[in-house]
Amino acid sequence: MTQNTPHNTTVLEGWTVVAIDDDPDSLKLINYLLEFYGATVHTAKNGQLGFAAIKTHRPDFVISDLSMPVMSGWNLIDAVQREPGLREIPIFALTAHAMRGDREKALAAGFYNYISKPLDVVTFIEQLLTLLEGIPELNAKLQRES
Amino acid sequence: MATQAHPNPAGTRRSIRWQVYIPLTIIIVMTFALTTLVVVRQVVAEEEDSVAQSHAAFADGRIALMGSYVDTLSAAATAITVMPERAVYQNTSSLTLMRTTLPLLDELVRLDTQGGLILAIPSDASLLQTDYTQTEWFVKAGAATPYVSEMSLDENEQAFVITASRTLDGGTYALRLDVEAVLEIFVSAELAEGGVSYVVDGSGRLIAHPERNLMIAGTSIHDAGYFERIASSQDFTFLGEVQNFQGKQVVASTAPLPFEDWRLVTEVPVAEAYTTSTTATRLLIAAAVGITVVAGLSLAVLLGRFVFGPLQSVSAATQQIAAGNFAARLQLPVRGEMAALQASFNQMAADLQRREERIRAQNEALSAANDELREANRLKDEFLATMSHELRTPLNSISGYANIMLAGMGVTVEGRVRSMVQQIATNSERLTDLITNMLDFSRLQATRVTLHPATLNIHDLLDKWRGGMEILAEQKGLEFSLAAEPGMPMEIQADHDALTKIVMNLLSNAIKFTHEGTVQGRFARQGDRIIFTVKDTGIGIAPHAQQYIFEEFRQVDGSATREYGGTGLGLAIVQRLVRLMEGTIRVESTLGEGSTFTVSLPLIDVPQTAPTGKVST
Repeated sequence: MTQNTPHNTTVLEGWTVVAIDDDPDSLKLINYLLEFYGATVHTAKNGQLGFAAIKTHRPDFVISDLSMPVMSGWNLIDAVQREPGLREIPIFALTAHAMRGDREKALAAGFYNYISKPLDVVTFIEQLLTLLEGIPELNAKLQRES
Repeated sequence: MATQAHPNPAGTRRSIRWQVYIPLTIIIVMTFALTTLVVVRQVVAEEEDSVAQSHAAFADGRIALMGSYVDTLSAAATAITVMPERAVYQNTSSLTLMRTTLPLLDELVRLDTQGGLILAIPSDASLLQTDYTQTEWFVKAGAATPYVSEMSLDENEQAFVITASRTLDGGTYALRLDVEAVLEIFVSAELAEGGVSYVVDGSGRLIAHPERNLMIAGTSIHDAGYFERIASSQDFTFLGEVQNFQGKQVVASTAPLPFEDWRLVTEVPVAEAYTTSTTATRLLIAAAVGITVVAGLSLAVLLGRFVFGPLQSVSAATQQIAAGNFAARLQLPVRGEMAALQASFNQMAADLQRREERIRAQNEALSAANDELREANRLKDEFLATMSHELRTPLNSISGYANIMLAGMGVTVEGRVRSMVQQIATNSERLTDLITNMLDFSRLQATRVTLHPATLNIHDLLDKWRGGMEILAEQKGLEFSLAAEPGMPMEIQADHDALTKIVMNLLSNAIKFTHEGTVQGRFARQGDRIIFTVKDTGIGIAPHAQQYIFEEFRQVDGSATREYGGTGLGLAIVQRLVRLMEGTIRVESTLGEGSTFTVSLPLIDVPQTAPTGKVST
């Protein structure tokens, strides 16, 4: 994955992502990172708004926090799973490293995988690309783009 | 515990009961047996006396009767002896009369000096039936003492005796005496049921006996054991219990008769002799047995009612109390010592009940306090979790942006600004580690951590861990290596996060406390254990400090915290995780030379076709 260095700022060009987090600063940080690598990012500060954004933008994938007011990540995955046409979109959970139980719970609930918090900005893109390569359609898209 | 220490109460009760009953029974039986013995002896002695007296009285009566006969007879004999020939003719009628008044006198014959008959009463006297001058009585009548023949039987088997003597005028007289009449005196009378009296002469020959055939056969008692005493008796003698000439056990007595050397012997069967005392003895023994049984039973009943019954109740109540029923009380209708015992028992039970209630109340209070503490602890843990999450969120942004700047992702920072941003990044990482450690420790402390063992590829892990640590070691100019020794399995079963935490904590600790030289991490297999060692050439740990470095919030000394940073939680977390994985950890260290930490974990067999998880990091 040497081609995916932090400075390869076009690796996510043409990708649409919905990022959901109730902490505005964390949301800005993940937005910055994704945009840095060329993605088109739509942000939302809770699950309800995130669900609306997913319906509207039909993103390639979603990154969502778990505990949020109004509508949590758990409720969001529930809603997405029940919506035909949306359930194919992979959603990654943002889980705190210390909350060990959350990871297994997230996978069981239907999240495609998880990304650990706090975000290591240096290794973030590597982590993300590894996950994307695991999904056949997205891997194909990755190969096309590069 | 109380029930374990309890002896078998039934056994104890029984033994006390028998300890009392057996001696009591023995005492009662002995007392009555002794009393009976004394009384029986007294009764027997008294009866012996009375038997002897009755024998004596009987003998006296017989002797007196015989005496009168003999007196009369001798008077008659004397009269005949002195009576001259002439007078005999003249007194024929009075002599005839004498015969009729004396039943003993059967025949009377008076002869003159030539042996010629003067008078015969009756006229056909048997004495004269043969040539009497040739008979024994005629020949021996001339002796100095009057002749008395042996007893003989006539043709009618009537016993008779012939006595003969010279008269004063030189004639001879002879008397035939009807012994039957004399014998009647003795043999007809009976002292007691089955008793006999008989007459023997000096040689022991039976003169008179109720069984006539004994007499006829000329039986002698000469050889019987008691004959000596009979023959030598000068007066009435009570012989007591003897074996008679017929071999029977009898009570016998003897008395000399006023005729020749004759003796009267009286015999009564033993059983008949002592009827009174036998009956009395039987009655006494029956009474003694009866009284003993009644007394024993009454004692048993009374002891049961007043001693053992209450004791049993006390025992039962004690067991109830031992079982925890402090409401148990004794309510027995007892008096005296038992009442005192009951009162103190009830007092004790009441005290115990009060104490137990107090303890229960205290326990409830304690339990409530404990619940509160548990709740407070739960709230604390919850608070810590929330707090760490809340602290982490802003830190996430701080370190994130600082690292973006340092990595030159869209922005560039140079010179003094860069070093300041570096400070921000380093310190926010320290803060993150601190928070993570705090939370980990708090969860480990509450033992709320459960391990999730999975199949781990040790080489992948080593690469990952090495990557994290190499940078730190490089920054301090240390020689760093982390490797698996030959023989170490490729895959192991372990909780990923716990193992990572153990390895990273020990390695970062070693790097932290080493200023120059090497830090080496090694994985090796030793039998059924995995051994992980971290060896450094650091500052080392003083022997006294080696004991407490695994305690939370402890570094070797307070100043170390400032110099080396950290919470002092790292080793405490490591130790708890190692224990959770059923392993051990130990340290060997020399001050100024370095330390070696050795972790030993159980090797769990990995199936050959281990399924690899969907998750990869």
